[in-house]
Amino acid sequence: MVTTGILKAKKIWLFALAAVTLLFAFNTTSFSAAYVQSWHLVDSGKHLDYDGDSIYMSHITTGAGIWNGYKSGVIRPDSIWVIEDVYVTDIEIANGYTGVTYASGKIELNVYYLSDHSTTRRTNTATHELGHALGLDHSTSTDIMGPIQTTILTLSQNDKDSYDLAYSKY
Amino acid sequence: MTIVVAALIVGAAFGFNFFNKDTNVKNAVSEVENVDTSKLPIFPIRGSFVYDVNNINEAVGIVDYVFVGKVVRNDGTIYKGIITMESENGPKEVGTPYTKYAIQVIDNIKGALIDTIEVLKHGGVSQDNKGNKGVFIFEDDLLPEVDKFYIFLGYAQKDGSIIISGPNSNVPLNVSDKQSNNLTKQSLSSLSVYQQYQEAFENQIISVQRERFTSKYEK
Repeated sequence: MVTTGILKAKKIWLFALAAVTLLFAFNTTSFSAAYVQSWHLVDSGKHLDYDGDSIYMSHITTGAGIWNGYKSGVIRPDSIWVIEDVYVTDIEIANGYTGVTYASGKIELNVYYLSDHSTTRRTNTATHELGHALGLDHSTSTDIMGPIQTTILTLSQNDKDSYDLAYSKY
Repeated sequence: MTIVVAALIVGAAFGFNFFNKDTNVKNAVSEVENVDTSKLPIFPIRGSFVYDVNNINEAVGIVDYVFVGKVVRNDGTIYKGIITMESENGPKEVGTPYTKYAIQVIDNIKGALIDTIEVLKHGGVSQDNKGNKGVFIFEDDLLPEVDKFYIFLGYAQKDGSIIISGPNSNVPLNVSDKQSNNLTKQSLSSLSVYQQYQEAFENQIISVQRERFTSKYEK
């Protein structure tokens, strides 16, 4: 009787372990995805060299640090030795967005909205726009690359997977 | 001698770059005539929004005007915020394209605009002095075509102009030739898209508090 009881308990424990393992596997593999757009601004040397006259350049620098924390040295400030890939400038227009990136190499940060926003929100926008310059597309609301401005400043698994896929295309 | 020559070369390089990097021109505007965009490649504009672009109630809530209009004329593209960027082939001018349209206002859903207005649509033919042209337009957006009807979502600007900007900011209305000659509020009411935007206005969500401006085209 005691042996049967122990075997039953072992079976239940093993079943629970398998279920938890499956749950974790599902969570880590199925819930992340890569989102890349049709263009990027990274040069043939796999660098994104930025320059600009935006009043939010410090937020761009912080944003560059967030991406470089995952892939070191890709985003760099422009220098006399290289050709700039992206130029960050300001606009003041009522149009529904805090920042926008063009395939021509221009990032516009919108003072109309950002002037009232917190440092965290401004940095989220700056990081998001650099993500577009890197070739990442919009993803989900829990990512830096979600379509709506948030307070997120940490790369999600979606952001990392998207960056990996974009990087493989440079 | 060698040191002097080296110093001159380095100095010249610094000087060249100094002039090259300080040629950015802000707020300049230039114009090009209307061109056929049908054969140009599309380069989607990407941005970070302050509202949920997929929520029609929020989309109506954030703008100042929602109106049914017929596109009377396309007056070409203007470029704002022109900057000069470095490129492998030398300096290039990069401006933000806006396409100019004359619109006949058929019906006001939100706001009250006069019968004939001019608007700037965010997007259009890219500015590229190297001959590589394309069309810049937001995802889920399109450039209006002359003689067609749309529901426009517009923002009044500080200078009194109206900008149509963002995904779904001009939604096509399928109007038959027979209907187009005599479109009234009553005939529009039979169109499901029109009903959708009427309902969205009645249930609009203003998710962003912002300073609002008045257009010079208001009644």
